[in-house]
Amino acid sequence: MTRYGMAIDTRRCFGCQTCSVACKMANNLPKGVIYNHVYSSGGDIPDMAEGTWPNLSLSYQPTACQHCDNPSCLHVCPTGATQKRDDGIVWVDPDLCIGCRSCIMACPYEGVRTMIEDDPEYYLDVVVGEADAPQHQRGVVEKCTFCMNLIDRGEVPACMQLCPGRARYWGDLDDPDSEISQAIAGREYEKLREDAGTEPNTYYLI
Amino acid sequence: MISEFPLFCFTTLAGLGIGAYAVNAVLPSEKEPRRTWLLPLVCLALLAVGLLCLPLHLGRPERMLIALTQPGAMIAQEAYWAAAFGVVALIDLILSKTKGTAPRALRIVGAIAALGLMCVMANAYYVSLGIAAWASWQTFPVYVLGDLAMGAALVMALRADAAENAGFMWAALVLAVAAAASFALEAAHFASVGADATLLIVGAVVAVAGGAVLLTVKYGKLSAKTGSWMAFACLFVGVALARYGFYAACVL
Amino acid sequence: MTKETGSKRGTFTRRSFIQGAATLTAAGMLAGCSATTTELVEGAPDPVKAGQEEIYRGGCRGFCTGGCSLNLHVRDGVLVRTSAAKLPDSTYDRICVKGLTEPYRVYAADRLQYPMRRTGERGAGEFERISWDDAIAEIAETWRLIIDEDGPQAIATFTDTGNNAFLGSGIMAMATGSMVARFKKAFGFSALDSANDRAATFAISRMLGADGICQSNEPVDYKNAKTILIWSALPAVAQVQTAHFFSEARDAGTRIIYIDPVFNQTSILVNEWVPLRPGSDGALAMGMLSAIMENGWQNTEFLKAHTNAPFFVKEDSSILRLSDLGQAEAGSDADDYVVMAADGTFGAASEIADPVLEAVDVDANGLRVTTAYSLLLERIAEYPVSRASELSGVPEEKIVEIAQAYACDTPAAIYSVFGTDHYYNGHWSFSCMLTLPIVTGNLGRSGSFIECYREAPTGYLNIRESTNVASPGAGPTVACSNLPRVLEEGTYNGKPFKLRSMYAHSANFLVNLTERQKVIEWLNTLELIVVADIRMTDTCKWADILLPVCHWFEYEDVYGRGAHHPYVLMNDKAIEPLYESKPDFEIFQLLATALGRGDDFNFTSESWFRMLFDTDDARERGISYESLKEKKAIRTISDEPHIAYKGGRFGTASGRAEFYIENPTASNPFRERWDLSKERLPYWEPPLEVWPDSEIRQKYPYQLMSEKPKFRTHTQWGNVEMFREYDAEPCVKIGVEDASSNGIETGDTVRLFNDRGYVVVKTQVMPNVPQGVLIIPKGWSADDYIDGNYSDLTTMEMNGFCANQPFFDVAVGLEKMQGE
Repeated sequence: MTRYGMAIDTRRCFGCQTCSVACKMANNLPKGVIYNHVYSSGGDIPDMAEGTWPNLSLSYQPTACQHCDNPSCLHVCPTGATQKRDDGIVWVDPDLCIGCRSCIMACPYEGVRTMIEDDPEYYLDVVVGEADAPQHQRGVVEKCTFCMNLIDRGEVPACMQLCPGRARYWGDLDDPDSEISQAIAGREYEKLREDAGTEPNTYYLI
Repeated sequence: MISEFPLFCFTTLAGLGIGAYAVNAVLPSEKEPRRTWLLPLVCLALLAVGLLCLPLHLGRPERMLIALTQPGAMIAQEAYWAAAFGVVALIDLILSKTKGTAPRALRIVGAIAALGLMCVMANAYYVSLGIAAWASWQTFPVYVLGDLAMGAALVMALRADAAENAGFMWAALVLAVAAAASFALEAAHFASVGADATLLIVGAVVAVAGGAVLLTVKYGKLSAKTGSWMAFACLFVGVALARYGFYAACVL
Repeated sequence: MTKETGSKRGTFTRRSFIQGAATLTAAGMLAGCSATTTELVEGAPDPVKAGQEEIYRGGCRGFCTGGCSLNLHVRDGVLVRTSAAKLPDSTYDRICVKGLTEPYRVYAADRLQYPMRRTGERGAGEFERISWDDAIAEIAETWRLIIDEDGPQAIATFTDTGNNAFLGSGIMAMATGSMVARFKKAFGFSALDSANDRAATFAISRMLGADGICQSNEPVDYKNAKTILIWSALPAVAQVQTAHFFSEARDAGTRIIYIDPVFNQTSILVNEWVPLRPGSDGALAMGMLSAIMENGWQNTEFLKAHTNAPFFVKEDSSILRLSDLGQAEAGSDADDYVVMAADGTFGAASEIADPVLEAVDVDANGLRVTTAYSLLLERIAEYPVSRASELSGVPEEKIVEIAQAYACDTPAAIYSVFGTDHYYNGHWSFSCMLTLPIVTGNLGRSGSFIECYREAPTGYLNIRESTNVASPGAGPTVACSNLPRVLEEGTYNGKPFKLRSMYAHSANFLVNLTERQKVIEWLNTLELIVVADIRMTDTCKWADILLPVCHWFEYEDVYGRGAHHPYVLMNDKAIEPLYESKPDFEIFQLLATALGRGDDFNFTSESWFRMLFDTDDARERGISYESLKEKKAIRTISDEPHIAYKGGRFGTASGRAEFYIENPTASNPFRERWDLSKERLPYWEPPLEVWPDSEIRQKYPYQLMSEKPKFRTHTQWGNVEMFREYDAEPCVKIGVEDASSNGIETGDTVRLFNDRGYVVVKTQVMPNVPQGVLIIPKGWSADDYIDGNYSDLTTMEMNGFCANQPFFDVAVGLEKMQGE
């Protein structure tokens, strides 16, 4: 059974935000919506280091929907808008979403889900991104779709097309020969909020 | 205004209604009060007004009815338990108005529905892993005890006999103190995760003040009528403040 | 963000442009456009069209030097997205946040739509619309008058790195391979030169002999180094596409030490970060050289065979040749350099395989001579490790450790870019840094390099033919920072000089030149300022005539210089020019025609490239207009990874690496500021303003450094509104200690000031920043600041010998603003 996941090599990710912007472009995200946030380990200011001069360190954490195996968002969705595909992708059907935000509250990964409060606004008059990018509606919740529109037609998720740091991997976790399985093999890794029991599928290689 | 204001209105108003109904069912009058229909009407009205607030927190309120399709989801559960309670309360109201009384068994069923709804409300926040302040066991007593405490105070204000009933008084007092204690425990949890606990503590203090008012009635310093309304005011305000403080932790 | 007032756009709205496109559709000129254009505006994209875009190829070229080749996805005549194109070697595939947001630049609200004439004060940004015909006629008329009265040299072109392709701006002042070079030559115009980022090239050119910007090994070679020192560079932000080459090398066992004054995300890619005092790079290098000499870690064979170490220096500072010994005719081919054999006899350098390195004050045919190597040792002795440690702030053991790694764990390399450059002492610091590879033999082989691969050979370009036009004579090239003095004195290099007009394109110099108020002063002495640009920049607001240039992907060009990969890239015309915009080269054609030389500029982009690639070199490499259109990316250099100075052969007069410079040549023309004693050997002195005990630091106690932003290349992409979600406004970064002593918290507003100006910005308190240093990102525009302007604070004072703007050499005072 296919089980999609992502891996980030934190020894290579240097916070260039290319993956975040690639996602924003491909999905024609409205103003104020970012699916993939790249956080700096030192704090809220981008690129802020941890520690005291000169004993400093810095790492980055690109964080989007973890497409969990036991998604807490799915259990609380009253309308069934949040669903999990057979290949593991967790997605939100915008036509079923009533905007109750239970999923946002239930998800331990703060910031990966956004509720579009009012009519979505854009910066340009022209529409950019993929022709089959998600339709953005007022009053519903959105998040990373693992670019199902792209992978369903044999292409690569937008954030995975090219990471300048060569730090991002994706693919079938259940296939030992997949790129992601090979990237993870033999590496120590961390996952986010494992205590929450959600079984996230993003591996942070350390 | 906090982002969860509609939810705050819903759980506080509806919570008051179901809390009052449950207390009244478990600790009924020895003899039927003159206007038996008043309490079920008030409870039903409170639930209805609370429910009207619910759609205000939705991005797409016009799609609300789809929310009933996933029984495992907390919002759906709230809808089912609220519906069950509403049906019972309505039957109670009709019987009380037409027959002058309703069977205790019915009221107990309503109390169970009420308790179920209280627990489900709390559970909706307990599973909110995204908000560390909410996702702990302390959330349950905050809701259940809070609803029961202010419900008891409301019953006392509406039923002349309750204020003169020592057993009832003690029950109300215990509930008030227990609710205050649950707010304090929650405040400690909030502080441990860096959330602002001020309103929870203020709410606890006001709830204790409500308990103190009950004592003054008990010892005859205050008339039953005045005292019970004052106590209700304290409990309602105390619970409301604590709840508001609870919801303020949601910055999502 | 304060709104600009007073700029009139006429009634031409963004929606009108779509209707304009409809007109083109009807005329059949717009390829791939659907019959109706309402779809372009009314947002719902058609899922049926998913994956069916037309794909063109573009070169993203703001001169960040990433040099990305992009797939341009066009749907219904609209550029909807970009993606990284596959290069012949996928290791070089690349894109970043800037390449991804090209549609935001193409469809930006501040695009220049039509030619305009200034109506208000210069700098107010008030314009009225005029036609192309009127604009060209007006410029030509004024220029004819100026040429009649003061000659063509009174008109100067100015270009920088805004459109780094051949037809765009070529590259910088020389505009190699660009129509502006032809234009300038045909009319004999002068050129203004920004003179930035010059210190490294200056030093490398004279010590190693480089062509173009620099010569370094190709990035795929980095993993072959055992040791790499990344030195005063910011690859994780400024050369994003090199990052994975470093981390891959590190993971394969290369030891990477990062030497930089500020802690930053480059540290993720390396093994260790070593902080050093800003501006002390040369002192550190000298300390390393001391350690190397003390411990015998130098590479004697390399010194003897590939450097001018064994050459002899006479008392008059020139180098001993056979003619001095009466063994050849002076100036003839046979007049080789002289070295000393082990037995003490002198002979030709080409004949003595194992010459002596150290010899002090010996007699050579009556002349007192000393080897360059001995002179070097004397110079190095001025910087024992202890002194170097004091000056640089790097602990002594660390200096020795790094020196040992670099000298002994070889092949070793130094990756440096422009961090060292941006000080008054830039080329001096580089002279010391460059001596390290010379002394250790870390050049000319796999795994050894200095600087950063950022250039490609241009031998395959028909430069001669591209500038083959009748010319009244070349006009001078004047560094902008020298203009105030030149204009005041009325002469340049001994000849009379007057400037009455300038034509600026692909440059935003009102932001990017130092000491902005002085720039405005000389700008205001000109009668006619013509600016050609894609959008309304700060510089555009000073134009008398403003011309709209089309975006890179709206015309055909070839991008072949200034990228750290070895490919020349095709840039297709993917969409029609928006509004009335035109490519730069067409504007030069219009001007040339109006000035009576139209016949010399009869080119289309295709015919230009056919001409430009008409060389044997190009044919050998398979580079032609056709092959580029077909393959989109072709390698310009040899097929193996490029190794600079392979085999230890250098482009100097001697063919050897030279740490001793016989004839130092200045790039700054004011003789009285030259001190040749500082130019012959590696030399270091503190920077101009920012050294801790400098006088100006007593008054203005902080150094104000600028840093490259992630979301812009200088000011390009400054109009991508979407980036404000990541990077809302200019903030100055301040270290924890300085913040605390000034009572400053993140978000407070501060005023930075010196005698030249001030700027008011918010603060970010970060432990990354050392005490005494403030960092402000470069490339924000005037309207972005709360008040004042960062560009007012920098200094125009360039090194007397090497003309180079010292961006980091700025001392400022800091004041917290109350109640903000």
